[in-house]
Formats: sequence, structure tokens, C-alpha cells
Amino acid sequence: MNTVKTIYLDYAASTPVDPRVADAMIECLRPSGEQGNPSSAGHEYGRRARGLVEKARMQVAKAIGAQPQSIVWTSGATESDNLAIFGVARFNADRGKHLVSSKTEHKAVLDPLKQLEREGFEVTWLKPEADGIVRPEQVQAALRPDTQLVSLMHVNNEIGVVQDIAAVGAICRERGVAFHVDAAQSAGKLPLNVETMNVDLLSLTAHKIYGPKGIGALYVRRKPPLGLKPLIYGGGQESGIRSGTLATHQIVGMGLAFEIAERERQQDVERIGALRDKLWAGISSIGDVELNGHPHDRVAGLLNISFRGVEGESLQFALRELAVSAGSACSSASEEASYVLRALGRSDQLAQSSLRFSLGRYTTPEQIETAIAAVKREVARLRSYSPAAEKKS
Amino acid sequence: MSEAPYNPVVVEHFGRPRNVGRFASAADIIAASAGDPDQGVRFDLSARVKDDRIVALRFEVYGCPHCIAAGSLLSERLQGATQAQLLRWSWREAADELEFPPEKRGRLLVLEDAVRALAAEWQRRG
Repeated sequence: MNTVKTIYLDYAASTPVDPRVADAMIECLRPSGEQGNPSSAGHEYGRRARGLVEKARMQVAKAIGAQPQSIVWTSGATESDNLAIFGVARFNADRGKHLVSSKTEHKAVLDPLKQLEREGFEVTWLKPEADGIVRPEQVQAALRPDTQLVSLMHVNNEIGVVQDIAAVGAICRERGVAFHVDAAQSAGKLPLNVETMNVDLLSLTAHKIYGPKGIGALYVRRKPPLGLKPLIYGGGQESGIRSGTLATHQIVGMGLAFEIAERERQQDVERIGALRDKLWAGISSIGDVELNGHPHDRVAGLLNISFRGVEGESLQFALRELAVSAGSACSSASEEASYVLRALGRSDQLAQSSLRFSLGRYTTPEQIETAIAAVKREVARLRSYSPAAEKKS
Repeated sequence: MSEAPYNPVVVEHFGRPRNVGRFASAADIIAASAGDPDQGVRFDLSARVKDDRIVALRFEVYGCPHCIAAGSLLSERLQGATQAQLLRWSWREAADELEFPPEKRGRLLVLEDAVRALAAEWQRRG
């Protein structure tokens, strides 16, 4: 293994846990920490644990402009997405079975929607423009009297483009259609306010914002209340929406991660954005490379780049001193070219020859310089092996 | 990414492939290709032949690390080969030595197609 010297540029897949977050979590786990069940209101141990859970709930709520009681703890964004989509669709099934989403959503949204199609629901799949952006008018045009839910991600996990959530939210609100947003990739990177963005359901996760893996949350609008059928039944925790013993240390970690991320967001974004610009300037100077997705409506820290005439797996292996993703990490085990890049109209070759570089809180200018040098060297090397016809393309 | 998906032979050839390039057209040069980058792999082969033997073989490749290693390995193995040996070359030889994953073996068949096409070109030249 050569992981020690590998430069981590895969923050969009997962972030390291901030040491401040790790310390808070470890304190919970010590014998002197909070071993009580937060639902055990009858004794001091339970009440102390509950206090920490509720503090974290406030921290997360504050970061998205929500009331604390609208935050439901889950195991992560995948569960949040599933809960939002199945929850709304099944709760409202007798009133309509039409749903709207886009072709470039995360699999955690695509697959529940495909399952609902098998159960008799109808999904309108919006195709983004070549820049990866779904125009609000497309959503407007897709709505029908029987539409129950629109689900759209805030920031795309593969290419980093930002959707106009507030505009889509306003359309949904006007038509009385529930609006779900997967914000796994935008929390801590963009301002989030569920009220001004007219969002009814918002999926969040801790591990992309310097918190632990295995904990997430779903914001569920309470005023007026949004009907949601649970996925998990049991002890009735989280107002019966999500049963299961609350994981105090995980929740504490997520709460603090969100508080820190919101407090330090502006300085983080400015610093990371400057490093991303430096990386793009270096890589684009190689030539015959293309930035995937809108050039400006994108989060700081994420670049998805297609390299002409270079095969993706070879490029990733040649660049194994850099921890980057080919396509999205969640689906890179599959052989198929990225469905997101294909949906944007990229050829199989370009889609297959793309790498995602994602920077974060601990990325340094020196790492970016090393990365640029490595990409320049290896792209030139692999292109020198390519058949002549490819070199000219 | 660790080196786990690739055996040491692949890693070595990928890092230092032998005989990459192509010969300019000439009377004693034969060339052939197979594959399509849109399908993930393409091999271009060119060889200098003298009498009934290949005296030098060059390859160009668009493909995964296994494919780059396969082209390199092939270029070593077929130096000095006769037409008969060229026709006998089978994808299985590279598959075993490079431990090609089963799902990638179709790419070796593309290399075999390129070798067959090279042999056909040689025969055509007489």
C-alpha cells in the first residue's frame, strides 16, 4: 500500500473527521461519557444523553435555517433520500402517483424512484442542459395535478454544479407540491436556508462535512406538517418517523461538524476555491481537456475533467499518488461510463476518461502543485502510447 | 488506489511499457489495428519483417492498465516470430500471465483480432 504519501483529493466522496469533532465524539464514548439511552428520560444518564442529542439538533437546524424539531436523525443521506421519497410517495399514494426528478441525481434518489416506478408510480425524468443545470422552467412544465413530489439535488456529486433550488422551490410551493433536496454535497459549502429556498425535505449527511460516517439527518417541514410514511418501525423515536436508538456520539459529531462548517464556511470556501482555480489553471494548460458542468455555477473544491485520448482507468492508476475518483466513488466499481456525464451528452470515451478532483479543508497549495505536475506528466505519457488517430482527436 | 487490482507484471509493464510507437510506412513494414476507443480499447500494431520473421514490433494502445501491459508483453513475445507463430498467438497467453479479470477478457480478444489482422496483412503482402 502507498496510502501514506497519497494526496487526498476525494473530499466529495468523504471528508476526514475534523479533530475537534473527533475529540467531542471520543468524550461521549469514554466510560465517563454519555452511555445512557437518549430515550431513557427516567434517569440522569438518559437525560444527559438527550441533552447532547438536542444540542446537536439545534446545531444542524441552525445551519439550514430550520426549527430544531424539524430535524430527523438518520444513518446518512442515502437513508434520508429514501425516507423522503418513499415517505412522501406512499403517504400520498391515494392522491396521485406522479413524481419529478432529474437524470443526474445520486443513486440514492434514482433507485428509490425506480423502485416506485415498479410499484406503479410514474416519474418524469428531467434532462439537464449540457452544463448540468436543470432549468426551473423544466420543472414547471413537468408538474401535473397528480404530482406529489419533486426531488432535485442541490449540488451534483460528480460534477459539482449548483441547481437553482430557490427558484424550483418557489414553483413547487406555488403548486402545492412537496420539494425534496439532497444537500449532501452543499452543506458547509453553500448557504442553506430551507425557508428562503422553499424546501420541504432536505437530506444531510455528516461525513462530507468533516463529521463521522453513519449519521445523517432529514429536515422535514413541520409548518404546515408534511405527511411522511416511515421506513423503519420500532421504538417510535424521532416522533415515530425514524425508530431506532439514537447514536449519541455520532449525533454529537454531526452537530459540531455542522456548527464548525457554518462558522468557517466563508473562509474555507475562499481558500478552497482559490486552490481549485489553481488546479484548473494547471490542468487546463495541458490542452485537450474539458471541464464538465457549468463553468461558474459550481461549488468550490470540485472539478470534473475529461481528458481526450486517455483511458480513464489507466489515468487513475497512473495517478495513484493522488486519491481521486473516476466518475463517482459510489458507482466506480461498475464498468459503465458515468451516467451523469452521459446525460450531459459526453461521448462514451470522454465520459470514461474523466476524473473528479475534490478539494477540502486540509488541502494545501503544495499538494495542488504536486497534483498538477503528476497530471501533466502522466497525461503526456499515456497520450504518447495512444494510437495516432486518437492523438489527433 | 492501491496496486491490488493489478499483478506485479502488469504494474511493471504499465510503468515501463516496451516497444511503444509505430513504424512509418515502408516496404518492409506491416501494420494492423483493432478496437475502438469508444468501446474502451484500441490496439495499433506495426512490425518490420525480414524474410519470414518479425524483426521488430511496435504497438500503440488506448486502454486500461491490463491492456497497456498486454500490448507491451505481446511486443516482447512476438519479436522474431514467424507467420505461423503469429497465427498461433492466443489471448490466453496474456490472460494467464497478466491475470486478466474475466470481465476484461473481451479486450484481449481485441488484441487477438489485431494480431490476426497483422498476420493477414503479412500474408497479403506475400
